[in-house]
Amino acid sequence: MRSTTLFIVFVLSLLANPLVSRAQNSGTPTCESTLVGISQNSDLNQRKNDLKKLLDVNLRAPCVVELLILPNASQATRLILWNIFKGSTENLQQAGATASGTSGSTNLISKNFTSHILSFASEYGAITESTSGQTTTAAGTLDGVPLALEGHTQGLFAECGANLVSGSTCLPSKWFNSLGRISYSVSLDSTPGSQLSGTTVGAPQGNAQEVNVNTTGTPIRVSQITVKVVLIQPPSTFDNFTKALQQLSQQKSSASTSPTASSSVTDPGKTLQEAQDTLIGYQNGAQNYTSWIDGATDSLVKAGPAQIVGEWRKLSSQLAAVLEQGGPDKKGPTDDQLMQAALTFASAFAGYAAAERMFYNTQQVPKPVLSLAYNLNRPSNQPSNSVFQLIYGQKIGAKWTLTGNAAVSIYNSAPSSSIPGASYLRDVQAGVEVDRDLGTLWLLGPATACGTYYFQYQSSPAILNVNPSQPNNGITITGLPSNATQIFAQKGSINVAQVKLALGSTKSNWKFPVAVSWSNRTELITKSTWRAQIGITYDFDSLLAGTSKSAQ
Amino acid sequence: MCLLTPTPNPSVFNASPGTLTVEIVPKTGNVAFVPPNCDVTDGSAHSVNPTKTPTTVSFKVVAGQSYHLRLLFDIFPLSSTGTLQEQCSGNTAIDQITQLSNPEVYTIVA
Repeated sequence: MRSTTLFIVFVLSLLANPLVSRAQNSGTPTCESTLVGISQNSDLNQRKNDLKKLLDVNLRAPCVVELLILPNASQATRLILWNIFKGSTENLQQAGATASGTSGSTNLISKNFTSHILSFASEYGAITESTSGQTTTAAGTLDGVPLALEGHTQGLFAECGANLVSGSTCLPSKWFNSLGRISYSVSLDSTPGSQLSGTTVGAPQGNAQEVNVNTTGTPIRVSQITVKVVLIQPPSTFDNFTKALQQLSQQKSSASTSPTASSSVTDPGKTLQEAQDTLIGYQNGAQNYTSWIDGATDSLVKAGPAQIVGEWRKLSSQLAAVLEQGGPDKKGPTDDQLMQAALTFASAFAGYAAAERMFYNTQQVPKPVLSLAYNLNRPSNQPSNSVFQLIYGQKIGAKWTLTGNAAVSIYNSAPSSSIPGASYLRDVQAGVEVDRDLGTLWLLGPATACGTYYFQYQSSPAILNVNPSQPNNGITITGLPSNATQIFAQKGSINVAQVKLALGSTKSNWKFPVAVSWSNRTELITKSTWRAQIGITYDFDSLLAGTSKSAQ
Repeated sequence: MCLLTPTPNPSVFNASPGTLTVEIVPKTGNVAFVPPNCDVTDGSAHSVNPTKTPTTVSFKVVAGQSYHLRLLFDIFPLSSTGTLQEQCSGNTAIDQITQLSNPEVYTIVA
C-alpha cells in the first residue's frame, strides 16, 4: 500500500501545481468587472454604447439575468432547490418504473454494489459503468462529478464565470482543468463469490444426498484500480476547435434529415437560446423599456469605477418593474414568472458551460503526449501487484503515429522467501507501436498498418496462489503437495511481436483486423507460439453517436 | 464595401442590399460560432438559410426586408474573447465577444 500512498501524494501535488498549463481562465469576465472596465473608458459615446449593451437581453442576457436575480438571491436558491427536488423525484419514479440498468445487462452484479449516489453519477455522466463477464468497471475523469453537478444543479453550482445566481458556489476553471487530466477506473469482480461449498444434511437417500450449499469468499471484490494522469498535452489549436464544430454541424444536419432523429434529446445551446427568447419577449413587450434604458445608461455613465457596480445594482428593482409592467395590449410577467424565467436562463447558462467543456474534452482537445498510469492489480489467484506505467504517444507527420510504453511492476507484499529469485520487483516492461495510415486501398477501403514489439523482463517468477483442495479454474496440477499455497513458473524474458493490418476506418465504424503475432514464451508457459487472428468489429456506439453528440 | 451601419441601439444595424458576411475573429483563446445554433430569419420568422461555418455566417440582404441574426458562440476557455465584425474592407465592428455575450440576437434592417 506504500506505493499507492506515494502515487496519491504525487497526484495531489499535480492538482496543486499542474505540470502543463491547459487553458486557464483566471481572467474570465464577470458583469461587475465588465462594468468597471467600461467606466474606465475615456470615450463617452463608447461608454454609453457598452452600458446599453449590458442592459439589453439581446446582447448581454447573462448580465440582465444576474441583475434580476440579485435582490432575490435567497428566493432564487429556494426555487432552484425545489426544482432540483422535483426533477430528482421524477427521475427516481421513472427509474423505478423502468428498472433498466445503464450497462444493459441483467445487472445482477451492479445491483449488489450500485448505490443511489453511483446510480445518480452514472445517470448524469459523471462516471461510466460497463460489465464484461463477471467484472464490472466504473470509470471516468475526476472532473466528471463537478461537470455533472454544473449541468444539473440549475446554476447553483457552476464553473466560476458561468454562475449567475449570487451566493451560488463555483469551482475555478483551473480546478476543472487539473481534475480533467486525471482519469480512473475501478473493476469489481464477482468470481470469488461464485465458488460454492456445501455440507451434507442427514443420511443419504439411495444414491442422492441433501446438502446445504453456501458461497465462499466475498460476493464482490475490487480486482483492479487504475489512475491515469496526463503529464504533457499539446495546446489546443483554433484549427482543432473549428474542425470539431464543423463536424458537429454536419452530424446535426444529417440527423435532422433522418426520420429517426430524436427530438427528445436536449441541446444545451437550444435550451439557452429558448431561455433567452422568453426574456426577449418580456423586454419587447415592455413599453417603457426604451426610455428606461436611456435613463439607466445616463445614470451609469456618470459613475466612476468605484461607484458603478453599486449604481448598477440599484437598477435591479427598476428593471423588474419595467418588465412586469408590460405594454398597453399585454401585461408583463408576474414577479414569480420573471424570476422563473431568469432562473431558467441561469440554469441553461451553467448547463451550456458544462456542455462546452465536455465537447472540448471529447472532441477538441489534442491527444496527450505523455501520461503516467498506476494500476493496482488484485487478481483472485495471484499476489497483488502495482504497475507504474509511462505512456507516450506522438503523431509524426500526417500518416505515422508512434506509441511507447514503459512500466515497472512490483509486488505489494514480499513474496515468499521459499520461492527462488523472488523479490519485490516483479517485472519491467517496454513496448513500442508504430501505426501507418495507408490511406484508401483499392477495393479494401481505408487501411492502417501497425507493428508492435513488447518486451518483459521477469525479475521474479510468476506466482499463482493455490489451494490443493480447491483447484483454480482451468488449471490442473498433478503431484501438488497438500500443504502448497503457491506455485511459480520459470522466470525469463518475454518477447512479443505483432504485425496487424486494420481495414476500415473510425469513420466507417466497421473494422476488419488481420494480425499475426509471435511470442517466445508467456508468463507461465515457456514455449514459443505463433498466432494469427482475423476478426470483424462494428462500433455499435456509432448508431447512437448522432444523438449523443447532438447533446452538445 | 461594407453593408452594415450602426444605429443608436447596439442590437440594431442598418444594412445596404448585398451579401452580408459576419465573422468572428478570436483575440484570446477560442471563440467560434456553433453553426447548428446560428440562424437568420426574415420578417415572417422564416430562415433565409444562411451559409454557416464556425467562423462566418453569410446571407443575402434584400432592400426593404428586416432580419434577425441569432448567434451562439462556443467559447473555451471561458476567459476567451473575440471580435464580431462584418467581413469587408473596413471590417465594421459589431461587438466584442466574451462569455457574457452568449447568445446574441441582432436586428438587421435593410
